[in-house]
Amino acid sequence: MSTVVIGISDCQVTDRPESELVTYALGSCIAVSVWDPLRRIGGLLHFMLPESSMDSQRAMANPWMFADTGIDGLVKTAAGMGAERKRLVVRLAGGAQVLDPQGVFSIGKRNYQAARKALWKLGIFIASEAVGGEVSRTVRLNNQDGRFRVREGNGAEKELPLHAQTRKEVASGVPSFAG
Amino acid sequence: MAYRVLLVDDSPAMRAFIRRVIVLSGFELDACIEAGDGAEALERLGREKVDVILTDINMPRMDGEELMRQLSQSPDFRDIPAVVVSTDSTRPRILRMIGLGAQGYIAKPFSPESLREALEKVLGCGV
Amino acid sequence: MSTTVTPADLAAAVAGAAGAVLETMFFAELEPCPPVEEEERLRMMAVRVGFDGGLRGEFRIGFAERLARALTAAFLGTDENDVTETEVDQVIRETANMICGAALSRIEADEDMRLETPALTGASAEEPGGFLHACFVTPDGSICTGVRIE
Repeated sequence: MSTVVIGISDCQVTDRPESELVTYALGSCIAVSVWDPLRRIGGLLHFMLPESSMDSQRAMANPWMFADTGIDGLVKTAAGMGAERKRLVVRLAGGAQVLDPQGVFSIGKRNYQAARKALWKLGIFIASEAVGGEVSRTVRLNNQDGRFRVREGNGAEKELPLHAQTRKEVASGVPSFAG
Repeated sequence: MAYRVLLVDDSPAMRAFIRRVIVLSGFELDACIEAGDGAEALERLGREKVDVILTDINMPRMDGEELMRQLSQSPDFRDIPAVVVSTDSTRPRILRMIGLGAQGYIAKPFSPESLREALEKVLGCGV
Repeated sequence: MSTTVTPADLAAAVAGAAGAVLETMFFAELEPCPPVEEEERLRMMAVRVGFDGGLRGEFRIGFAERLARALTAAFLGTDENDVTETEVDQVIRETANMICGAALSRIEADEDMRLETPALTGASAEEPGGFLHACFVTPDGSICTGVRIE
């Protein structure tokens, strides 16, 4: 397994089966992982801020800093390497309510909503997520088998599934949903 | 199986949202038929084959509850699975809609993922 | 008609519902803010939703124009530059519908509820007395909710 470390406001996409993409210290930032199970193309974005319109010049210099430009770039890069958008398994982690360097508390939630908005615009669903709370997270994506592991604080690692959990929890009777 | 879906909602914007979720979810879609209220829904049902109905409740001319009532009384339509998609999630209404045969109840607002999961449950259940 | 729900209860339910609706389907965060200036309120795109059942009255939801466009683009998954006036009208009416329905469902869960078709209304200054207002701000502009129980 060869480990590729993604820093803050950065992104990597790989088609090498032996690669593992890792990013650390997700506070209010969000990690967005994509994985094409057929072509074994995996990508990991670590973005910091919600909207590129906050600072267009910085977004031009580094699109990975923002949810909208970062996610757009991540998906396009993966597609350019042969991934199919329809097949992409997308998982999110991060968006904690921590005091970030700008002294803003709510940026974690705004980052999360910005990620959801960008993905909906691209027509991509979120398979699973570990977001919110007040803990720092570390994540890794194994490009061989698509496993996406999240460590919260000093806790044990947990794995985010490839599919929404509720698919496996079909109850009998009339389902009722909210939100 | 390629589904023929009937969307019944007086909001064209909401119909567009739901239609987008259906298409992006990867269901094999033969047709996505739209109606602005219960009366128009019955009219379309009279002319076209439909495999599943998604219906709002508060609509002009004929609301979703009256639509479900008429569907439940029709031998041609009573077996078409129907899911309610409504901002009304009061208990008396939910019970009445289930009593009229609703196989699912999705309260607005819902995320795209929630709607997709709900559709998979209904479309996976013998349609 | 319920005798236990006060206008203040309903106004709080509307505020909660507004947050839930805008977060879930429009990916927007609301922060409470002081009432907006009258001049700004008059420029808002306002939607009226009448209701009856367990409670009877009306809601008015006002959207800053820029917010209305941003919400429309977010909801439809398109760019703000590509949204049409018709789409904006449709989306804010449906937004108001969802906020009102969700609020009533929360506060009167065991009562019947009927919502009128949401209608775009004129300047907010025309609204009759008795409305309880709450205003919220987003990065794209303000939204103001008002509710009156008969």
